[in-house]
Amino acid sequence: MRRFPWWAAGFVALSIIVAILVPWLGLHDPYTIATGRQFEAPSWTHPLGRDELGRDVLSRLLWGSRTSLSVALASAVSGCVLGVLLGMIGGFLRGPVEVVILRGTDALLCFPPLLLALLAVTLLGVGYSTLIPLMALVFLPSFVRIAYASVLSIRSQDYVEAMRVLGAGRIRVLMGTILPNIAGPVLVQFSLAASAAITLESGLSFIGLGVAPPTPTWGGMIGAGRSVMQHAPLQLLWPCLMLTMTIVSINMLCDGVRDMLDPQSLPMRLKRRPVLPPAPPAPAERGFQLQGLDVAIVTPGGGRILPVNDVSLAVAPGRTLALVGESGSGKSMTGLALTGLLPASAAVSAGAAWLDGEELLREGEKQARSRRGRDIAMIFQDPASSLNPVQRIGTQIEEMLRLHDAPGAPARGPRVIELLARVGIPDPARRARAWPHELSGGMRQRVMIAMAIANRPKLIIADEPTTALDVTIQAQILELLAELQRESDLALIFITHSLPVVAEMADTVAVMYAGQIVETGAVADVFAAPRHPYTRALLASAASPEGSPPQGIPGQVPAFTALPPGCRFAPRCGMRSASCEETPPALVETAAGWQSRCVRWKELA
Amino acid sequence: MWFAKRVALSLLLVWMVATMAFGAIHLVPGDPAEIMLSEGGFAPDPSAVAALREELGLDRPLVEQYADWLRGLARGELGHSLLDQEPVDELIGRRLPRTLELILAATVFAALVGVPLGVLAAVRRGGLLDRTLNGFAAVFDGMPVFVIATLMILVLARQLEWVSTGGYVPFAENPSAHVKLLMMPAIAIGLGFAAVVLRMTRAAVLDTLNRDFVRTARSKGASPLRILVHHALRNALMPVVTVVTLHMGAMLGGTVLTEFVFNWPGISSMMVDAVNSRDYPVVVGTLFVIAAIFVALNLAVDLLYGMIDPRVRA
Repeated sequence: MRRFPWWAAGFVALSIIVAILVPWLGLHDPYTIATGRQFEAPSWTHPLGRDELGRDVLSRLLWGSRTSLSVALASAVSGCVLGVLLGMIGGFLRGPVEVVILRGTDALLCFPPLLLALLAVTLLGVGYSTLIPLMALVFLPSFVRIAYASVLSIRSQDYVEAMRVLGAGRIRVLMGTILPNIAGPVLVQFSLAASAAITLESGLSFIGLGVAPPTPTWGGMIGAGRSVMQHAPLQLLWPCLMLTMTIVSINMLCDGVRDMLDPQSLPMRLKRRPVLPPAPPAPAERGFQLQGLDVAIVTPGGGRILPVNDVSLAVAPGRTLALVGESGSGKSMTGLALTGLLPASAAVSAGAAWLDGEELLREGEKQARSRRGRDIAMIFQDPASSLNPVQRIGTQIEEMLRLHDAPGAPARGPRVIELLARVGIPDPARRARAWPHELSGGMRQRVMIAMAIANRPKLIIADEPTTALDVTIQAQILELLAELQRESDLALIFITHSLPVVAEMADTVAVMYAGQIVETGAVADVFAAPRHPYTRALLASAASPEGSPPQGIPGQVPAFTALPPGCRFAPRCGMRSASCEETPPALVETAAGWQSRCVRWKELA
Repeated sequence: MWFAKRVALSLLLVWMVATMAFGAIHLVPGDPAEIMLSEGGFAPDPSAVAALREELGLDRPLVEQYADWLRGLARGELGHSLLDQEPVDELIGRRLPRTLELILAATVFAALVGVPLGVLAAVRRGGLLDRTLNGFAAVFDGMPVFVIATLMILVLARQLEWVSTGGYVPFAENPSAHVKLLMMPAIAIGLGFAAVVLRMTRAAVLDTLNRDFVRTARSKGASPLRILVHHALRNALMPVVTVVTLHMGAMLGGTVLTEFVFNWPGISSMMVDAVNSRDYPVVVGTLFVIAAIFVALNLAVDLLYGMIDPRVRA
């Protein structure tokens, strides 16, 4: 979150205090004309000198803030009160009253405020009595809209109905529920109106149609200073400075209040990328191996959490590994870490990964970039948002080829069509020219797959590729992936929360819980006789409809900021013992290639 | 259907605007003719007031006057100036193009400055450059346009004597002098506008860079520059274009002070003159035309959006 602009708040507060206290500050009379002493230079008694009529500039400047702020306050308050009232009336009465109020404010918004002011001045003459009602009218529509929208959204809610049934009158409902609800947006709109009022008032005074001279106003001072600017530029600069400072600080204050009301927590960026120690020697086998991966995230509070902790995986070419877990278990984060696509707030803080013996996590950005899409490709969950909406799909597949083609590669156009045909898109030549929104969800995911296989990668990471699709389409997509894998000998990491999909697709499975792998092994073994209570609970609930969280497991996944000291699953585990809650268990080998993070796995086996 | 409904709604709005412009003179307490003729607090000559009442038709029944006003509008007539009897529509026809030219020049300036700087701020988000640009944007956004204009004259025209203080030369007469005189007011308006465009662009680019398809582009191995140019910008600029178009409409009424400061003889300075000489038909006519243009511009943006995005029509 941005810091609250205290200096702006301070300046606004100071201006208000000065505006209130100005008659008692012992200043010179802002109206006293001293002929013969025009443009006198600054002195102890007149710190900013005298103006073109010999009046004290400092005094006029500070009295000017009283004028500006009181006009701003008066018009913003009346606009606010009237607008909120009209908006609430429109929202509650509906029918013709509503139409008149809404359309009337719409029409009002069509008149530029300054021109409306000119009309009012023509008809009513110059002065406060024209200025304040007029500006109140100008600011009315925005308040009407806030109040109206709020009434509409609230009147339908149950508790308002309940209050009505309980016999609360309309007025009490209005005051009790609506007003507190709109206080925030109204406050923001109020400060916007106040700063706009100061701008408008000073602009009108500048051309002599606002507050009538000789009343001191900033706009009037700038207007008068204009004709003598050659002579006395400071006459012009002081009111310009005051005016700008006041408006900018009100605006800043307004932004600050808005941020406070609606905190959009900006993701924190890691100040320093963690430096990884040298990688251990590369394993001899081909395929993909991951060892001891930690991913660190900086929380908005400034703390550090490890959403991925000590994760090790391996997939041989032509094999499929399923990474399973509930949302928040760290499985997607693992996938992103492997491709270097972690968000700015996260970074790999430990571990090593190899693809055919080449280390991935210590590569420079340029090298990693050339590997992405060529050696490692990703397929994401939601094909609708993962395709660029303003590029034809052919162009998007072509980009994948273009980024990694060696010089002298064959023309890309036919290869794009070939790829589309390969993933089963009918009429590929025509479809290459389609926009993403013209395709169905299944077709879009086929396009994503075509993109992923375009450069014959060694590893594809598919992050819940079928979750966003219909059940029948899911089966087709899974079949397509399996088929592509069989013919191209690629390694596939399949991230999912769906156990039936795991059973169908994967050779090995790794179950993740709260950032750690709790069990990993061959799918047939693990599914037949799980050696971790969490896996067992997952499997037991697999019969329930897809997507629903595992049943029969009481409690929730712990937050990363409040992990249990011992086993992370212990608070929800039916088998926990005292030792489970004291020391974190290690991942132990229970059989060849079958590991469990449970101290009591033998009781399960 | 959606199209017809949208057009009908705009026509309704124009009618309401016309009614408001008409109503302004009659809703005001006191006799408008008397107010128009009073100067410096002296009561005007009763016979002059009566003559003006007759000239403006204020002595006739209200309904008749209203019908006349609407009939005139339908024919494109807005009455005559009280000063020289010139038809208001002709006056507007002569002045409006100059204001439109000013707005267009200011918009071009704002886009040329605001969009690239906004993109830069987004790319360097959180950095020193971003914070500096944001600071400048806050100042120029807050600074009233007449302050910018006056300071520009003070520094550029008076102190440095690089440019003249203002004025107008028709393009046909002297193109280079015309453009020179256009630049100052256009930049004065454009600076505040550029600040708005900068903030909009920055927010839109940041928003786009967080979208899923940008992650897809990264997973393809595209460079940050390529992602920005080929994927983020086009998506980000669509909302920016909308805001710019709508803002242009709002600027129609925002050129008053700039035209005043730089002696630019556009529609707004005509209105200020009319206000000062209490030339009521010119004031009301101009106000109506500007509001109607604003409605038309809103309609155009809506229709354009409807054509681009079928979902809007639903």
